Amino acid sequence: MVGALAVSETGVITEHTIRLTEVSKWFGQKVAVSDVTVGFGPGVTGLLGPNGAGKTTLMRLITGLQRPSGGRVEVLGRDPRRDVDLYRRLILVPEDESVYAHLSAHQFVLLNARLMRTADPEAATARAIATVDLGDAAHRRLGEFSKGMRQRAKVAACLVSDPMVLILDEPLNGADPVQRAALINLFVKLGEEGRTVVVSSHVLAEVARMSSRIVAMVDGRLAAVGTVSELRAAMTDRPRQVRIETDRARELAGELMRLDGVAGIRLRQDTLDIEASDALGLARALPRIARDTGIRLRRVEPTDESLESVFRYLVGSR
Amino acid sequence: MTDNVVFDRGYRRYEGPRRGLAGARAAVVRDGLRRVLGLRRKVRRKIMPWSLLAVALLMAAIFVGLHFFASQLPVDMASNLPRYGELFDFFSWIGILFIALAGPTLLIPDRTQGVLSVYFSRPLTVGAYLQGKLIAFVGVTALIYLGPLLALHLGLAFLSPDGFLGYLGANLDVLWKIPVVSLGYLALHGGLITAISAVVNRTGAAAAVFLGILTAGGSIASRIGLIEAPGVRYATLAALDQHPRAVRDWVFGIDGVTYPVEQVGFSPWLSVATIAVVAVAGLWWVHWRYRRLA
Amino acid sequence: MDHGAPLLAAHDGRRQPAHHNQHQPGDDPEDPRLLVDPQRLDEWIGLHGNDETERRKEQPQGDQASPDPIRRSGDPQQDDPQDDLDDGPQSSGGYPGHLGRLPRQGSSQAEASEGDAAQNDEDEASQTRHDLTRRPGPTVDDPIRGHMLMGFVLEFHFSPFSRAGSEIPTLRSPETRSPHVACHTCPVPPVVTTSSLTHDYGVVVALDEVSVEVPNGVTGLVGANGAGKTTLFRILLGLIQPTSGDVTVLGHDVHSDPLSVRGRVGYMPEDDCLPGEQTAADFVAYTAELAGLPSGEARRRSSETLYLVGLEEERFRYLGDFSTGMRQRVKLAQAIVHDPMLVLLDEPASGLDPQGRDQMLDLIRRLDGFGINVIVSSHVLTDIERTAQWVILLDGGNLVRSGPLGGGGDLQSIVVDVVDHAAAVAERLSSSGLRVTVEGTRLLVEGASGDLEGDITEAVAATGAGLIRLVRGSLSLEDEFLAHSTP
Repeated sequence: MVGALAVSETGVITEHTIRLTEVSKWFGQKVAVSDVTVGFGPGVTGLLGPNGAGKTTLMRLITGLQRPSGGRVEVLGRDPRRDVDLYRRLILVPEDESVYAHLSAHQFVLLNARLMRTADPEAATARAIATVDLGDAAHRRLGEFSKGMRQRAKVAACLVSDPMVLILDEPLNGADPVQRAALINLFVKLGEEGRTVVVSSHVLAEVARMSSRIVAMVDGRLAAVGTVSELRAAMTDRPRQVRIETDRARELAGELMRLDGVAGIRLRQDTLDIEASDALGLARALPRIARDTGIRLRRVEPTDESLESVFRYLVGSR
Repeated sequence: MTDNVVFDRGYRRYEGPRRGLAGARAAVVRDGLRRVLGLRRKVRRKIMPWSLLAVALLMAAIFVGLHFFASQLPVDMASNLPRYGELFDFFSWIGILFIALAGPTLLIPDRTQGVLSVYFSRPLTVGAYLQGKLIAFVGVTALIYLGPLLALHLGLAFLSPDGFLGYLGANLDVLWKIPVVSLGYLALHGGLITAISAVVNRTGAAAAVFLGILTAGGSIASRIGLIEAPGVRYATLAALDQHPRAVRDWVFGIDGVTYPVEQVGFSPWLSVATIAVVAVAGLWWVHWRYRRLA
Repeated sequence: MDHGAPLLAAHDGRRQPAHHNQHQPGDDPEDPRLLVDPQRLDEWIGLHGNDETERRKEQPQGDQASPDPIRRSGDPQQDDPQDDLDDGPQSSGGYPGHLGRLPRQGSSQAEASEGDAAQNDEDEASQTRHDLTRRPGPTVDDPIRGHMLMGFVLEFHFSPFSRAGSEIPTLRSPETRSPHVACHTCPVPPVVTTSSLTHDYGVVVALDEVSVEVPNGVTGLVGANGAGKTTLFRILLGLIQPTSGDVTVLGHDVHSDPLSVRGRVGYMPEDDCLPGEQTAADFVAYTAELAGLPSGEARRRSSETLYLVGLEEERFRYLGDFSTGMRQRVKLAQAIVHDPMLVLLDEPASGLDPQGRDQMLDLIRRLDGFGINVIVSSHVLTDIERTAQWVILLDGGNLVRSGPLGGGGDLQSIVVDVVDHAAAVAERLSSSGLRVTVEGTRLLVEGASGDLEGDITEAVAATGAGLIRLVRGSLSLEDEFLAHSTP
């Protein structure tokens, strides 16, 4: 069942900035990544998976920090390990806090600019810092920053070399709501500019907002590739769930049970949780029934469309 | 009455007694003891403390044995064997190692692991916490100081030609001398290690600094003190390791090595005072360092 | 002994959630059926402490007029059957979970007809065998429950992390929240009260004249800039003295009596705070002992709470070997092991993967069901939306808002998703005077109609379109936050 989902897209080669072909990586006995074939293109792609699913390893393979035990990794057509020039184009924002605490944010970004041999380091630094909105605090030392601000500094350090490809590992970690919203908008903007942005995160609601495309991994293997709605549509073996709040719940339940497309109803207080094998049929019948019986619908909502529920399904099925 | 009931095992309220600060302190003591001795922890943690204890007890047994054999010999060799006073020095090195292990273990991991934020979210004051640690410290080091020496004492009593009780009766003074001298060692070394553990953040480093001050620091201080210059002789007081020994010699009436403090003419009471100062200063220092926590 | 003053069973700060909605007619303070008389609260607390058993022994046998136990006030028939049906996990998660909730539906009606002859000795007996009488559910003193428990009782045991779980609805509109609506007009003392609370670290002002009342239930604490919330937690625990202002937690002034506050408050820190060398059971038992529990009790409760948070044989492994998710659970367990009335959770879901996050949020909702008040601080607003009933927004040390979730927005608009015929539906609605915006198959309907939902249903039915979604929207927490926060 899971395999069927992974087939959803391969695409044309030239569309992909990053291509992985049957990539595997093991560390001794532990297989971190197993036979992954997937591509990433312009725009924001969310990389999801439980802890230990292999996301970080995958990111390190893409940026050339690790060598695949099997398969091939291509970034912009080239091997990230061999082509050092590629480092100018790819940046990884690792989760760990090994940042130079005694440098100021400005110094840190400038250092990166110089390391990447950017054309005009000072200007690039100023631009990058302005983009992540660190302006006032740029001259304070990183050691004094909160976690969220350190993350922003790291993102600035990435942006300074104007990369085509950005690989970001949990970039929102520790950021407060304002910083989060700002970063999300930033990533979306970068994606719209045509850059290839790969973001891994555990907060699914935010991933859903940022990314147009999702790559999900479970246990080292690909679990799903596609947009959220595509994935939901592909999970055809599951009936749709709809939640209805109403004042005459039991009565409505009785009416709805008569429909062929309704597989089951769970009744709780004023709420019906409906399993519909024919969601469309239900959608059409519902307003009609409500009008005819005078039952007032307070709320109607499909409860399984979110990324959360897709994810739960992906992780749960074996 | 039929008993067809299934019990609910969900969340229960707790309406029982709450022991307050005293209970919390007692908990700190118990945990401290377990921590030093490695109880309820991985086997690795038990190796050091228990082997030190074993060595100490073994040495006590060996000395008892030596006394036994000596008494079997026709010649009276027994009086040449070292007695309590001399043995103290020997045992004290084991004690020092134990203290170097126990002190840091009690204080440092709590700080570095971040558990203090959990502990002080309970009704526990810094005072009670430190008191509990102190009690655990004293308890566990008393074990290693007093244990082997008392074992030695009892062993000698058994072997004595005057009979068990006779020997004990004749040597009643030993029963207060041992604890007093032990206290001297404990207070000095304890105060020192406590002060160090309040500052240093790695157990190994704390132990190293402690041992370093005792050995190297001691010899440096004593050399300085012997320089002929007004007031410099007070520098000999900084040779901390000698004070407990000076007290021991004084209490047991041993006339052996001349310590730097003696060389510059200080009386043993000054050693006692120095020990007290170090102990108090150490405790005050640790309390001061921890004051901002709760 | 004057029994004229009924007392909310949770006089010690826990609430009987169901009763917040149950205002007796008139709300006359002289009315003996009034649920809580605030003037008597202190008296009761002083007299009886926390011991409910003690209090029950005080009740006269068979005193029908006594208004003490809430459920006895008036007729059993007046009891709102509604109240039996809600409570904690059943309303918020869709499954009973470890609580082993009883199937209250229907049974209370049957029981109610038995009348409420006070059977105190039976209660006594049943109580020792069944902790259910002490549940924070509808009532602790209900003699009816005593009856029920003597017979055969069904117990549900589900894995706390049932995958059959239904989707947790986003708490956007007040109607979908569990009935634990924090009711500001209810005479239940707030869990925390601060007045003009200020704290600064030299130049940096962490809290600036913050005056807020935190109600019972689950409260979310959101703020830009980490300094404010951590400072607030430390102040609530009495670990820091604020620069100025007063703080009262669970009725105690923190400044003068921090230790009793800490005895009844649990704290789950954000950072790593677990010793690698102890086992989970040992550590949690130690923290229970530090709260004053005797060793045996500490060990038992440690085992129970670890089981409740989902750690079974892992309890006896060393904490150094634990994964992030397990660690977070241990941290939660130590926060509740000493049966606190309030727990402070600092970023409880940090570092957890989506599944772990789900499970943790679920546990938090269950704390609510246990009757434990919660203050959750998080940067992830969707998490707050999923767990909290009341939200406090701080920005730069200033209180931006303190109010019920979803209360800050405009509830006059409804989002409608249809299968097709969107334009036709829109036309119908706008012709009756409503403002409609169409985007593809989605309509946003605004207007002052008395029954917007009804109108919409009518319009959709008339056009033969299919109705996929009908949700009354308010500002999401994030929109509100961004609107208020200083850029």
